[in-house]
Amino acid sequence: MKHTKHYWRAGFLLVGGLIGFIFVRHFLVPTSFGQFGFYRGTNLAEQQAKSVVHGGKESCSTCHEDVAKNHAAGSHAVVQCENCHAALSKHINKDGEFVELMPIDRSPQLCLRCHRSLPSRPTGFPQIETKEHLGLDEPELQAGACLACHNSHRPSLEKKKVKYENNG
Amino acid sequence: MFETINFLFPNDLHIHWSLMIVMYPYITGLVAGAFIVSSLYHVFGKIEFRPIGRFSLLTSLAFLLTATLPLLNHLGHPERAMNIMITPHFSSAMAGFGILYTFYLIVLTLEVWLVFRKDIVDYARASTGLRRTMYKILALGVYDTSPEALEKDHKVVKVLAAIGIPAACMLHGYVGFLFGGIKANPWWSTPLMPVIFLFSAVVSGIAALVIFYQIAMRWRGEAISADCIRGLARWLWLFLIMTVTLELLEIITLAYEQAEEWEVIAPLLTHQLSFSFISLQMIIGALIPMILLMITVLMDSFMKDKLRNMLTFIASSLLLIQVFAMRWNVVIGGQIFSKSFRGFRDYTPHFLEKEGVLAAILLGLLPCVLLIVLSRVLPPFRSQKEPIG
Ligand code: HEC
Ligand code: HEC
Ligand code: HEC
Ligand code: HEC
Repeated sequence: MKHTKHYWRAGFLLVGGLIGFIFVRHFLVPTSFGQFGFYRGTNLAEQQAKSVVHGGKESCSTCHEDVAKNHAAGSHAVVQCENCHAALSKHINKDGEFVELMPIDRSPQLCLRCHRSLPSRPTGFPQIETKEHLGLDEPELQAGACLACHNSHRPSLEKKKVKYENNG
Repeated sequence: MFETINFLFPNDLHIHWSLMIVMYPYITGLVAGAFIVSSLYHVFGKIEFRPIGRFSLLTSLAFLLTATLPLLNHLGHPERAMNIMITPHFSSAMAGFGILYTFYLIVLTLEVWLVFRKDIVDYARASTGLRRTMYKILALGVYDTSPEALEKDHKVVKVLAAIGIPAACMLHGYVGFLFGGIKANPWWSTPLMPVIFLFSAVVSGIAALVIFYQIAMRWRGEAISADCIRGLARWLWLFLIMTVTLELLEIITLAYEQAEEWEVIAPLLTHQLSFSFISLQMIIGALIPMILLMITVLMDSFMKDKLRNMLTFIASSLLLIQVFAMRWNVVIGGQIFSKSFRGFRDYTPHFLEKEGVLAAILLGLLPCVLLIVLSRVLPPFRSQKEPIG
């Protein structure tokens, strides 16, 4: 076989590349991969070991009974407290100790995230165009623009007979 | 927003496969198209393509090396890209891409290497210093350019090109399969999709070569080979006819069947996509180049070289737009209508966003820059008097 030296070299390179790939792959594929399925087996334990971040609205009511009660009576009862504020663990740690104050978002964007009218929302869902609702476009709204009339925890203004408590 | 929005499912509001997913089949298509042209010379002995036989290989390589970038930009986390290679799941079409892509890259690199090997050795002999080292490494240290060795190279190139054709077809047909295999979407789900993608890929590849070749010759101040342009125009015309036929065939079938999906696809084509489909893909991008190419091919004997060059250049530029519009209409069009079949959403890429217009332009320019760099390292054009080698 004359004149084939360069083929041998190219062949060695390719085979070397393949062996290199198998070698590197050996280290890149996690050892527990495929233990239970097409994923890293130890991942299950890692997920289990994660501490609980959210508490659900029940977790707030022990300390914020007034707000919780007010919230549960209105149409926002279906909306989790942590959906508008932040995760419980940011505020109270797992031993029930205070960590830091819960954030409060007073921007109209908080409300519009759910109430901006979009074609993909069910028609029965309360949605608004800010231009029609307040005469202003979205970027022109100031912080607290919605809270001037609506109570964030119990936003309905229709049922006039509901007496609003100012504390929640 | 359009007036005819009607009803969208809540998870149908956003277009998730953005402009980047339009770029991805576009660039991959250019790879396959340029490769087919090179094979016309290397395998099928179409001697008129000799001037671009080597250049088309470099074009294919330059676009292949950048083909995955739009995807990586779209997905984010490029460092995870290799997971699909080290733990491929064979029920995933995307994992199939990793394997096809690698195989094709190896075949193409080997072919480029063998085609340029004599030049590489000559440069290694003639240069000094770093340049010499670079060419020496590229030659793998073997300076054998005896006629027997070159003869052998020539044969192996033929075999590689022959393997490369099905590989290129599979690489791009597979991109069409990614869409054609999505059964929830009537605008995508058709076995014709891979074939349509493949043919339009060849159209875009030939068109790009017409443009690149003419620009390169202008740049070098050399004569544009009339035979080459004549041949390219003929093949371009043929593939354009087949592409448009297939594209129309798909729509005519849908229209004739009048199944429930036609209720949404008809307004999609006539309203939402009226500009990109009717104006760009069908009229400006297909009808006009079809006429221009018909004139170039049929009235060839009456034509001066300059006019032929100009007509093919214009037709090719329009065809590059056509193929891009086709990718857009498939990728974006397929997501503009809701799975409810009753509503539409809207998509306009912004200029500066991560997957926006600027990113797409840069990703389109990158392979061109790479091509220029590759052409510096491995000059593909020879003066026309040199013997065939
Ligand atoms: C262990 C008791 C406790 C629990 C449980 C608790 N909080 Fe608090 N929260 C407090 C205390 C204490 C304050 C501080 C009151 C103050 O400084 O006036 C506070 C303050 C707040 C504030 C006001 C922040 C401010 O800037 O004034 C908000 C909002 C709040 N909590 C939300 C929540 C939400 C939502 C939950 C449930 C996810 C929750 N809290 C659970 C004890 C608790
Ligand atoms: C729709 C969003 C939303 C939900 C749901 C929500 N909050 Fe609030 N919350 C706000 C906003 C906005 C403010 C600020 C109100 C203001 O400044 O007028 C606020 C203020 C507070 C405050 C401090 C001021 C006050 O009124 O006492 C507490 C405490 C609080 N929320 C607790 C809760 C708890 C507990 C829940 C669940 C039971 C909850 N929030 C659910 C948006 C929400
Ligand atoms: C996480 C989503 C979410 C956010 C954020 C939110 N809402 Fe709501 N809102 C709801 C839901 C859910 C309902 C109940 C809809 C229903 O009854 O079907 C509702 C109902 C309402 C109603 C109608 C009450 C009625 O009974 O007619 C008003 C008004 C309202 N919200 C105002 C606000 C305001 C003001 C804010 C900002 C402080 C806000 N919402 C933030 C989800 C949200
Ligand atoms: C000037 C007072 C005022 C302000 C400010 C205001 N609203 Fe209202 N909003 C009302 C009244 C009054 C109603 C009840 C009458 C109705 O249903 O049309 C209402 C109703 C709503 C409803 C229920 C609509 C429906 O179809 O049931 C939503 C949602 C709502 N508002 C959201 C907002 C949001 C979000 C903002 C801030 C951008 C805001 N509102 C600011 C007065 C106000």
